[in-house]
Amino acid sequence: MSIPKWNQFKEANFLSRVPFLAFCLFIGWFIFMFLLLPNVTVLIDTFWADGQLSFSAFERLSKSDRAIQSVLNSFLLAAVLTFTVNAVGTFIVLVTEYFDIKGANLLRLGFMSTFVFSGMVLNNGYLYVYGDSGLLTKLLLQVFPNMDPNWFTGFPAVVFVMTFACTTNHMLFLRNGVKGLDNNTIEAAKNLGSNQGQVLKDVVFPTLKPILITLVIMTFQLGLGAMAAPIMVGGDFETISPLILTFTQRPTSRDLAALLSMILGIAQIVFLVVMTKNEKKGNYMSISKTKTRVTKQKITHPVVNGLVHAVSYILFFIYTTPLVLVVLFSFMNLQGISQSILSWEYFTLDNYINILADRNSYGPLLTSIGYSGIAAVLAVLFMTLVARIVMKNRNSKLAQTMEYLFYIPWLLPALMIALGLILAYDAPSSLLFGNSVVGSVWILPLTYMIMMLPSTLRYIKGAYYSFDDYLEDASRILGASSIRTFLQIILPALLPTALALVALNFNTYLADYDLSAFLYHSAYPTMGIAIRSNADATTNINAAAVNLVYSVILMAVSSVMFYLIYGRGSQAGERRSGIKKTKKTLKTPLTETEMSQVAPGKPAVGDNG
Amino acid sequence: MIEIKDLQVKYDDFTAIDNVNFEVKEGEFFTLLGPSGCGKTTTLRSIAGFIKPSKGSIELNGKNIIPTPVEKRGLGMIFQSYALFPTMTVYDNIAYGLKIEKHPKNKIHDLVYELAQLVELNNEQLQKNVSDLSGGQQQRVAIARALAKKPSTVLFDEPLSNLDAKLRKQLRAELKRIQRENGMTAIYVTHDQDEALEISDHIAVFNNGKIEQIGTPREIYDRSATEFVCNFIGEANFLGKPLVSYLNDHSPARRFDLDAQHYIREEKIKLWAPEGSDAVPVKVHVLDEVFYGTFTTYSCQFSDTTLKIMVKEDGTAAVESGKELTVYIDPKDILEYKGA
Repeated sequence: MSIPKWNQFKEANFLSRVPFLAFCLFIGWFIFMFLLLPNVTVLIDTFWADGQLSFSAFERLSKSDRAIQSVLNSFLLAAVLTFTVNAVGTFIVLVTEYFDIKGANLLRLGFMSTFVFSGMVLNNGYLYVYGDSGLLTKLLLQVFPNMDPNWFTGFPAVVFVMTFACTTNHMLFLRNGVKGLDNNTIEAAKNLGSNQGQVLKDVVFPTLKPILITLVIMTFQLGLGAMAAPIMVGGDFETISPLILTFTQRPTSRDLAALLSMILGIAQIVFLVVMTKNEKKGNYMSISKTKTRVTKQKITHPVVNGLVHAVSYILFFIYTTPLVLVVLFSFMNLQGISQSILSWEYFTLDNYINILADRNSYGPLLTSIGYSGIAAVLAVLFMTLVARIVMKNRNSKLAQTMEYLFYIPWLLPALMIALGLILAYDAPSSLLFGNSVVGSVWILPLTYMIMMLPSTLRYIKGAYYSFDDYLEDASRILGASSIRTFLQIILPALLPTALALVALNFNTYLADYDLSAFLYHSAYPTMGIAIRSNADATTNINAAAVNLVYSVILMAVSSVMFYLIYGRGSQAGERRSGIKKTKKTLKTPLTETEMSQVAPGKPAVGDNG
Repeated sequence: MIEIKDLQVKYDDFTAIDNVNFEVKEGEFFTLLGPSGCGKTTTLRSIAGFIKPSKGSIELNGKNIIPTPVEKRGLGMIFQSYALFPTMTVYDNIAYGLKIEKHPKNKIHDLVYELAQLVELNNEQLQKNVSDLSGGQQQRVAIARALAKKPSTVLFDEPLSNLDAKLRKQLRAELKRIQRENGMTAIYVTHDQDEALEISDHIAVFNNGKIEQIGTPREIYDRSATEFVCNFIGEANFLGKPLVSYLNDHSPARRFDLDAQHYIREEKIKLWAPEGSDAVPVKVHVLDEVFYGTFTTYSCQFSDTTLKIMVKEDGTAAVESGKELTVYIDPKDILEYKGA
């Protein structure tokens, strides 16, 4: 029997939409399973006990001196860092971009080292200088034999490490702000009789105020969520994040872990609201018809000039010494490492050869590369398709809701999401087709991917916005189907952004410790975990050598990735991508709120603290 | 032939175009002209299939093409931004549509080179990336790409607006030549009245989503149907009531309604009365002059009316600023609009 034409059309139309409908179902399932349910479970665990509403977690928390102390410690750390990080961060930006300081290029390189020398690698490096068997400690012990070799511990040590570790955002965003200043306004102020201090106070800082406020908030966030630094050098100084980890590992204290993570979550949401309000107040844009680049300002007062130069180079040595020593000692044999002696006599490549030849030694490296690589690729692929749906249905409430749900990992700390996954899926679930996530190999890449989704979606969406719609129209009118147009015209145009995002995502989680600590599979420790356990004072000198090599390899990989993202590699691609130059790309400045979400120093994960 | 009937495009409560009707004959160069936001591009994009009209029909050779998807309409289009695929070479851009039609490689090759010759692109340029070409060359690629599939109708969406004045003039003439040589129908959108007058067989003047007038360039200019068209096309002097009354008093040939609006084109005001005409002499005071090389415009005052007069620089005019001057206005040249 022949089917009428209209029915044939309807049938064909439906069949062609089956893959799309299946993908939409998958999106719905994914959002429910991995973005909603885990966080709802945290809420339930906090407020629901024995089948009724309960505030017992609050009572238990209020009675736990350790928990209360950790909350207070976190807020204290955040408050102190707000001053120290912003003071150092603003100083290093001014001396590299605003003032005429000799050797500014070298200084800049040193101050930007935290881009690749971060997280566990950085903490391990600082221990290598200041720790009980650190180089500086050994030197000091020769002068003061009675001093405590464990002097670099507790609150001051955490503040010291984090102060220099958390200026990445300043070098990224404040630097852009200073470079964007209009030189004419500085010249006008001088012309009207202002001295250098007055120009800074009346012209430069007011212009940078929105960025500075955001950086203050971001620093507070970083302090509040600090994990790596308190674990590595904190000693008795305990903060919220490590305590959440401890409580999570005890089944009877998980409600406390949930409550603590909620405290972090609420703080994060409050910061985002404040930051969004700050952003809405607007930036001070130059209204000059012909904006000119800032010319470096020579400090006219000779004493001040000498002082600023001296402080700049002291900071440079603080920033670079751990990094340089890590690199150099990675080429020393065990004797050189144990005695902290740099000498050609001890030079060896054995550390590298041993690690790269031993499955157990290079295992964590492969695991980290594999996990963050898989997560980065999947997140970008997934969000490319999701963003396409969002962009094609811009006026649909359903698509808008879907988009907002994918931003949930922005609102909540990574630890809360990790905890939510543990609480929701520590037993086989029918929603996961009888599987259990916790304890499985893929929980960590999955969580990495979840954390990557918001910024990936935002950037891919930005790339779609920037894409010249007329290219799509031109392809269609030349006879190409929607799918062909997507594959041949849209996808190649998105490729530079997509590849840059893969690199950025990969880099952010390569040396992850925070999420790994919660979710890693014991047979497959990540680099973050391996460095942490090797850094333990009780481990042998061989472990120290392994850590040095791990650190150097991680820094090398990160450097390559940064080159690919921001270096020459991305320029040719962007030029030929069909992305309009006026629109937002990975290289254009972000709004303050966006800054906090995509910054390498985002507090929830990959933080330097 | 393309026939647009009662076309309407609505976005929620906003009506972008309404009651649009026109007909484009085969081989004709038809221009949609109007200011920004008047609905001309909406009309063109509806024909292309990028916008779904809320009412009306678009017939291509008698068949309503509104249900036909964009890629099946068989129309060519040249975009304002050129919309060249930046990831492809010039050759690949031109060949794109042909590849979709699955032509053999050698045929595609021949066609691309033929088109390149037509739009004056050389072999070396064909191998370049489109981003390596100048604006004018990019526009030539866009033209070649749109013509590759030999569409019977090509849609032009302000294709020359991104070019400088000299290149625009040059490419305008080339477009007309290519259109004539290929016998294709062209629907051309522009806000540039000079471009429309120069290039078109027929013009539809748009305003506020509706067509004000359709006609040949000469009809549109000389017999502007509405006050809007009169003001939008060319330069027109508004005549105040004292001047219209004066013309009524001195012209037996034509009487004007004083409640209507009256205009006269600046080149229609003469310094002497053409032989056998009913031109009325009007004494004006010369205020100012602007020299344009081939002609000069004089601003003259009659009561509350400032008249701009365009005079060819052939050496015969003897006009001095600040002096009295007699000009001649032929009542038949006056455009009258009632109920504006």
